[in-house]
Amino acid sequence: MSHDEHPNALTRRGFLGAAGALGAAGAGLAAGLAPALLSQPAQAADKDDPTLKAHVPPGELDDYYGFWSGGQGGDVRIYGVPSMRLLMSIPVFNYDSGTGWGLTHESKRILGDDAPRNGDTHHVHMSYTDGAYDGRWLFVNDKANTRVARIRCDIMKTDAITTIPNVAAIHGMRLQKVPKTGYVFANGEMIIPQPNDGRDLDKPENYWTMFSALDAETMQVIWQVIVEGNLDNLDTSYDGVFAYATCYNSERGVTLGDMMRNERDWVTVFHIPRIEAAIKAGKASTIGSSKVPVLDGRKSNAANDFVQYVPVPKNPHGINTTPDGKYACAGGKLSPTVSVIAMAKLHELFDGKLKDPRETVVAEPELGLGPLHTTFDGRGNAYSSLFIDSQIVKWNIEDAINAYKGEKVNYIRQKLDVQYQVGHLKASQSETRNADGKWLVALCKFSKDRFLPVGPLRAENDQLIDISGEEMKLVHDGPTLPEPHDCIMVPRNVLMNKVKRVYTRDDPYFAATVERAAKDGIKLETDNKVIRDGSKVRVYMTSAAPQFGLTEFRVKKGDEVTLTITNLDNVEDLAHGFCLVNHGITFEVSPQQTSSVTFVADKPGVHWYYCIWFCHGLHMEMNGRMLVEA
Amino acid sequence: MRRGQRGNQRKVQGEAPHSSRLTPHRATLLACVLLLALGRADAAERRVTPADGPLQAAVDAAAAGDTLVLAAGEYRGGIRIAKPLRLRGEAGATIDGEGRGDVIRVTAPDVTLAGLTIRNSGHDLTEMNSGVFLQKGADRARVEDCRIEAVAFGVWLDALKDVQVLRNRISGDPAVRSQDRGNGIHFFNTTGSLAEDNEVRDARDGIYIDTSNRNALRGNRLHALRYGIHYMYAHHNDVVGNRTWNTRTGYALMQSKFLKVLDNRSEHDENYGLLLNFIDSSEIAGNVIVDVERGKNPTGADAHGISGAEGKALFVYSSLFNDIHDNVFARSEIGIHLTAGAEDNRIHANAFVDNRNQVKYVSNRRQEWSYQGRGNYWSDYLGWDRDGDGIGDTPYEPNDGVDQLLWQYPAARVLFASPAIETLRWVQRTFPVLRPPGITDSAPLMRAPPSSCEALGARCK
Repeated sequence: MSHDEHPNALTRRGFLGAAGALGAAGAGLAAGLAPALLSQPAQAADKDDPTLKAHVPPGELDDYYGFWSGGQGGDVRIYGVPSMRLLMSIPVFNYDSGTGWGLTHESKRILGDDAPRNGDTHHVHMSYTDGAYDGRWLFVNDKANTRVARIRCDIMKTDAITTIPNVAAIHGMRLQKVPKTGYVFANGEMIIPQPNDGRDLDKPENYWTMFSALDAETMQVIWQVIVEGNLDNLDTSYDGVFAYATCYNSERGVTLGDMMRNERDWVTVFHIPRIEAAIKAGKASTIGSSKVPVLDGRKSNAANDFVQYVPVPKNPHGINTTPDGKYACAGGKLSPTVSVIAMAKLHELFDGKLKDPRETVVAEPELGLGPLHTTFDGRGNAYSSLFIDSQIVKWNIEDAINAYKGEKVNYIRQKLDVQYQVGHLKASQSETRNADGKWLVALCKFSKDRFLPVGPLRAENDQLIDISGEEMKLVHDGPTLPEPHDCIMVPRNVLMNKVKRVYTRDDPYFAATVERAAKDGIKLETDNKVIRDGSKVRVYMTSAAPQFGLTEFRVKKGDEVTLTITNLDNVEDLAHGFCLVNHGITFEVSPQQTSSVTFVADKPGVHWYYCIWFCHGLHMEMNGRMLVEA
Repeated sequence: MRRGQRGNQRKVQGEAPHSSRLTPHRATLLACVLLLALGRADAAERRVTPADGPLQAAVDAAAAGDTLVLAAGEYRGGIRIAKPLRLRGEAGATIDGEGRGDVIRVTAPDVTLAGLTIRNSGHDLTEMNSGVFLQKGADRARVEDCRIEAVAFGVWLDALKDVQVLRNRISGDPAVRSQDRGNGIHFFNTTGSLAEDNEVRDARDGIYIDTSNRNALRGNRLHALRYGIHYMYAHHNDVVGNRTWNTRTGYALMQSKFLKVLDNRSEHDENYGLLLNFIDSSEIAGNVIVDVERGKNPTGADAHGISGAEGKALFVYSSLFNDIHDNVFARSEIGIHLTAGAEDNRIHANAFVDNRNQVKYVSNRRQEWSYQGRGNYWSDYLGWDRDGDGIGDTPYEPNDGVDQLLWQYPAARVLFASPAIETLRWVQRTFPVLRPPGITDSAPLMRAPPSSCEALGARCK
């Protein structure tokens, strides 16, 4: 469809055509006026067309890696920004048919043997060094099954998953920013009995949740803090001292109504060094069968000097730290305000210098209906998503602070309609000290009529907005499969030279498989062998386009077969895939990668296997037979 | 400055014609019956004066069902009423909270507060300090004819049934930041209750209602506020005959179903006169929304308003299956803004008068805005009515190319309403070169409905 045929928008050419027709109709004054009236702004529009800025011509690369959570898809996705081209889906908590994630031994070692096949990823963040992205890892939460995963950025594969004890539904998840990411912090959103072993089912007053800290290197949970209320979104400070989470259920209600009563809920603030000191001082206990030390951060604990609660209106949602590290902004959700909390005041609060925790709030600008999340351009401006207004509001932080002091200051710069109902929003590098104020993505929860209808289930609409100038400009509608929640944008130079083109043979991702093969006396790079061990059969083969190392292997009905394939091709993008027909088995074998699966050969007969990733002119001929004796 | 605001109001009289679920009368009856049931033969009326000592002592000494008549003078607040009781003030009876906590907290059912001046609550929003805090259990309370002043919240309804808040004058403290004030009347998880003929000013929001089904907000006068009615997730309610002015949104109705929004007025509100966000299966009728102004920075001295915060008489967002009729939307930047798949609404017999943009419609699909052969009145309609049946001969299409042009190139707006643009519109309609999907009113009304004439004065005569 050409631009002119767009069914709704009156395009420049469309209108000029119309104006021409009007002229032809001889409508006197109007016809004479129309081209004069119309051509001037129309010409101006051409060279200022904001959508051109997002255009990345064929063959050119994007400026940013965009990492998107996949929501109930359970994966993490990589987009190119600003083109918004989808570059990859990284399976994390989901089963993935193409790569065999959830099927191969290499993935099961990470997922665990009985891992659920679903996940719900919300917040993906990259590890930091000195408050900037360092390209080591990505981390992402799983709200559905209370897990946290780590992704290696050199191969963009999940390499560790940890289930968090004593809590339910990990939602907010953030990383220590300085001096580098040592801690991964995770919020348990739902309150549950402690321990959750069948006790207190009908006593919600005994339900609690916790804030958890994982070691980024080992991915072990190293401590937890039990809190008042619940824990929603999370962020950390740039001085390494604080983590802070929104709480929308200070009532500790278990029904919607119960959770909405209080005029103010709060931001729960964690003082990390004091938590470490309390752990060291032996003030923790354990709960149930978990060995993780748990501190009591509730108000009832007189010895609690490590958690503070700052009241904010009302069922707050997002919390985001300004790139200069001075403030955290909590979105009011049911209040049209964003609460700006000053880091310097938080230090005073923990030092006992403030009478009222509300003194840490230095601004509470009224912005519009349903403010959820805030992001920053590094030029002193904040951008908040307004869920109900379906707008982005751009506002100035220092102006808002001055307005709160009583000055007559206009802190709102602009409101921009987005389509429709934006949840998270994120500006490029906004979660780092290097916020660059170039692009902003509005992750809209509904696309409604923005795309061709594809059935009752619709894509979301992640809209790209140019924020490099004074005025926000919408430049692109990006359909996303259900349902990303959040994203980050990382300059390409952080990653381009770190991402591997082919695996190295000593990659830990399949090191355990290499070790197992060695016990069988197998050198994976050269050997094509079948090793029988009673009813267990281990089949080792190489793949090099367009041939598998074995074009047939023979087993008996009922044998437990372990297949190990090693891709010898050393060429960028020359992935193979192994598919065994009628056995539900497909997996990826990228260049220089080793992958393995185990199954029972329970069907006598001839079963073909074939390469499922197009690899060669003779790709179709790249196959072989499994012969199963009755 | 805005005296006589009630002059043009369509009075809702007697039994609300559109309301079958309103319970005031039923509730009153019920309260009487219960009082009789509770009441002892010796239920007493006793007069108290400030000289009699603390009011709390008199309250404590009274028996359930008693009436305390408060003589003129000042009583210390912080009163807690834990039994069915009636407190009636004679002129000048004032309960002063001295800036701490709630002035009156009711924890028992069947309590009536009448004719009192209730003032100076604390201002701790975290503790929800109120003039009158009707705590869970205070069902069937009545708060009537009170002046409630300089409070955080005016009257807080905390998970209650069958409460009546009638004819009170409620004001916050203008010296406190807007966002640090409470709401005039706050409904939480409440049902069967009525707020009628109250005036709220200088509070945060006039009436706030969430998670509260089957209530009625009627005939309230709400001004100098953030939002007049701030309304979240509350079904089967009636919003009838209220008036808002000088607010930063008259009626913010969100995420609710089965509402009757009838005969309300909004004048000189900012941002939105009437906002419908995810409002389904509701009737929106007889409302008069005029002079909605562009949103301004709430604390600023900003004459121009915020870019992107156009004043919208009616904003219909993802709201379906509503009947929107016999309303007046006039003299605003945008008459009606429809978006986010707001479809399957009946929109008819409304008057769109002299809005800078009559309709802003953001969608890829067409909508027909007439019902049973009658559309709406459009002040910029240029067609003729040659057969004299009151219906224009050619359809009205507010979303024509000229409108689209004006959104795209606001600079061209200087020529809006100029003969040139009007002629362009006429030519375009006569020689339809482009037909962008949008709104069509196939049966535009030649005359404004009488209700709008009344609302707009001589303009449409």
